[in-house]
Amino acid sequence: MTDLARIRNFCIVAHIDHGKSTLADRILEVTHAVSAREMREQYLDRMDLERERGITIKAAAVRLAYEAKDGNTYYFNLIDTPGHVDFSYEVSRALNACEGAVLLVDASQGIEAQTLANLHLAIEADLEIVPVVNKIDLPQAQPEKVGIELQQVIGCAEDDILFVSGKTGQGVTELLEAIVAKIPPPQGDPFGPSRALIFDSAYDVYRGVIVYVRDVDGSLFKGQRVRMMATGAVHDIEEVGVLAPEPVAVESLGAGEVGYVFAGIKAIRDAKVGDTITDAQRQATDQLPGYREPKPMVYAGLYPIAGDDYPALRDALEKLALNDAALVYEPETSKALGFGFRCGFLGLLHMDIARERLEREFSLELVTTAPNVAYRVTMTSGEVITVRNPSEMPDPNLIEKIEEPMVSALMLTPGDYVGTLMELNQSRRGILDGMNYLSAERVELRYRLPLAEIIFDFFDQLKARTRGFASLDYEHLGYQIAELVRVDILLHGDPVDAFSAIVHRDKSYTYGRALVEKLRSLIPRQMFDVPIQAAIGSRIISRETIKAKRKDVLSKCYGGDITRKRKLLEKQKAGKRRMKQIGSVEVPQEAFIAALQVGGDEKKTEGKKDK
Amino acid sequence: MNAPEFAVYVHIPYCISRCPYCDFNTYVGIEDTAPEYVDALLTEARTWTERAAGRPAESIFIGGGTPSLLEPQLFDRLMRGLRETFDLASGAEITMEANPETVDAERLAAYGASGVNRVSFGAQSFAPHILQKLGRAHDADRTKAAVAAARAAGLDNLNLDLIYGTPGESFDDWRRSLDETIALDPEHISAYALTIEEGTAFGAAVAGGTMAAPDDDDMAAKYEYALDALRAAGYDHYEISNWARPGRACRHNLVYWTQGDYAGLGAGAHGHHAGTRSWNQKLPRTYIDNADDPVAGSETLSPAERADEWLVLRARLVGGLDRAEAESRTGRDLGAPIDRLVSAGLVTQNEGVLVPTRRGLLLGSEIALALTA
Repeated sequence: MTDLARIRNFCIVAHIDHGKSTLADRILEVTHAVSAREMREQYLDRMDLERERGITIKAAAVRLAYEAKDGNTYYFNLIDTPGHVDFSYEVSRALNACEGAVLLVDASQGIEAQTLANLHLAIEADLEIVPVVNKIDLPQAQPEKVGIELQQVIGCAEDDILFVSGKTGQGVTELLEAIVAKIPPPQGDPFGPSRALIFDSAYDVYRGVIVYVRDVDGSLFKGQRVRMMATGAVHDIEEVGVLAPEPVAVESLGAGEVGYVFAGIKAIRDAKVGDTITDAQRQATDQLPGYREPKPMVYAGLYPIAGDDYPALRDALEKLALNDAALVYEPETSKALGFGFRCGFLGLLHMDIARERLEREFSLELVTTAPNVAYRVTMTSGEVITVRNPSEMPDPNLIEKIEEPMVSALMLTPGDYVGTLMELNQSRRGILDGMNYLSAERVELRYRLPLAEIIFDFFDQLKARTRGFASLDYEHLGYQIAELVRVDILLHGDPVDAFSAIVHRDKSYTYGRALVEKLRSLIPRQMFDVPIQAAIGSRIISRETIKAKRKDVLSKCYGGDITRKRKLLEKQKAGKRRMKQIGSVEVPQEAFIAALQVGGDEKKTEGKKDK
Repeated sequence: MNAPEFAVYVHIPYCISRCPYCDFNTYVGIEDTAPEYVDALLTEARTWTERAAGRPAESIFIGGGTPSLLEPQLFDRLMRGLRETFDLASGAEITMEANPETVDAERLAAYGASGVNRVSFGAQSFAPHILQKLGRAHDADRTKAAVAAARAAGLDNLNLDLIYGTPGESFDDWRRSLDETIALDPEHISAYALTIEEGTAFGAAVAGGTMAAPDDDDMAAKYEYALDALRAAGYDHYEISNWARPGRACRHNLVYWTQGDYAGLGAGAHGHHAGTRSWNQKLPRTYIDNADDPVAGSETLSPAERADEWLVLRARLVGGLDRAEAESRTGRDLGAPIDRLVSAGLVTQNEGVLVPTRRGLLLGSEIALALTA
């Protein structure tokens, strides 16, 4: 058991590309955690990539020994935090495992939205903030200016700010000394009933779930029977260890320590992030605070292109859920698409990751419907239901009110783009909550927005309108009443449930028109005329027709191109196989997410400049 | 239709200029390699005698490029060499392609004396602005003069190639081109929808947005006009893009559409023998330097792929596909796809013979895909 006074648990929080991984490399070197021979760039990021075979270890927490100038050896636990807003709950759990946070800001970029969002989370978690300006070696670095920005947002003194270069190593020792001096050691009762916070977990095919924990009270040891306080599940610990950064089994993890646990856990949902592990015999009375069930915010239907792939999709989702605790799914039937699943995701990134894995790892061809949020509908009867699929929205006559999820969005932008961003937010039904000039180059905008308005192309728009300079972060705000209607699409006269969407009444005509137009351009000409209509209830609000195709023939085919023409036909055949047959109409996969591209802005997006 | 068993294709890769729509294997400004190239062709020809397996060649087709750029003496050397190598059937069809601006009666007579009995002219259009857009070096008068010269040289089997659907071509432009073609009374007419190919100037222009892609509806209307006008003028429609006076269908091309065997001589030429399709080195220099073994690649189809290929090729012939023949040839029951095609109005079925409808001719790929699904 390590003396609590010699432990420092901290994380590094930063906006993407502000140099977190490179700084971590230098810290590994200075603390001799990795020998010069084994050192390579972005060491911690690469650990899990290089372990495709063998167990899945991510560098969720690395234990380092640092000999400080006071002559004592301190044990640092450097805890990793996920970098995307979809995973902000996971970030908050990781922060709860720490006593301090190194707030890292790029000297050439300055503070970004993610910096602020993470700072707020760190302050909420009551962490000691160590502000650091990184990349001071860059020619375009403006460390003094960025230092002043930091003083303003944190309210710290000039002297508190450290200046480092993760690349050259300049200032890194000073940083490690500051961690010793400023970040408080963990508190906890080494002899009380065990309580350990699960702040991360990963699924491994060979050994089951690896659980990353921060022990708060008591200890965890091999052979111990433990209980998950939120789920009630009981497991026997097979191994406890620390990552140094390679995994090393240890006798036990004591109060204040950070490490991993294997306990024969088969699915990641049995080791939920935020849950508390306690001793099954000598149970703690209170769970560690802050546990929350992972809550999907975005829903979409996933359907196999080929109907007979349905069992394969079900199996694939089951397997995927083994290592994705936030993924929820339930079977649903679409008149247009047949049997499939309604899946819930933390956000669009999470959805993209899941869909890509299903297609790549399980070789499935899928149709994904346009994502939507969950609506809370109060019926005239007083019953309250949750609508996760637009086609399930009840008849308007039966509805008392509809509420939609809201977010508080934080945007940081150079002053020049404030106007265009306000325009964007207004077009997305945003209400300005506050504006704050950190400096002329850095204006903080806070908007209250319906989640539904930002899940489509909001981020792309934000980047396109600010030439990539603005950054975004958001948090959920609960539900708010709204004037919403369901817009249906009829293809060849028949309603296609998968195309239905819930939109604000004021936007419904524009939306219907744009979607119909988009579908007309995406659905190839068929052997007959195909009318496409948008409707609200029984009222048609827009109509276009895809004219029947008249010509589809290879005009020339001679001895020299028989092979090539055969391949052309094969390609055409493969293209047809990727289409979904809806009634008699062949519809390409892209059509089902066409709604994503008609989010209300006619402006073309330039695509993502960064993540 | 009774197709020859074996034929010979010879590729001449020279052109005066590069047409912006053409993706054939052609080169400008290397005509001085022609003597070496002809030697190489004859060297390669000898590698085919075993595969010809004693079958007489019922057709030789000298295509390009622009074969009429070959000087008559050199051309004669080529023809004599081919005759020495291959057993030529009596009455064999010997076709050469020619660009109108490259020939006169004297030159055509010389080619005729070397054995050519069929000439295919790249007329393409009779509208001046379309010829210009297509990058052609000739005008409509030149095409007429070339046809007259061929007749004077005693050639009684002529083809004119036409292209429709070039952006900027009006319906009237096309109608006039067809009328002028019919007025010249060739034995054979090929009419192709302009196809935009990658790697051509048109391909780049369409991809870059500086040129409109050909319009399918416009081309469909022009094709339908051709169907009517050529039938009225007494031409038989025998393949998607080919029409002929009775008995004048191109025997050479029938080899391709019946999956027959053929030698493919020359740079980039394709050959077919016993289920293997092979293709030669594309660059003339490389081809010349490897004339005794110029094959750059080949593919041998599986029985199923071969059956698909037969159906796709054979379905191009509009005279009718005999269902019993197709089923015995492919070993498949074609009942279901045929029913679908009939109910979609793409083919009619009469006593076991499938004939594409007008709609089916325009949607030939749908027929091909249905038959090979």
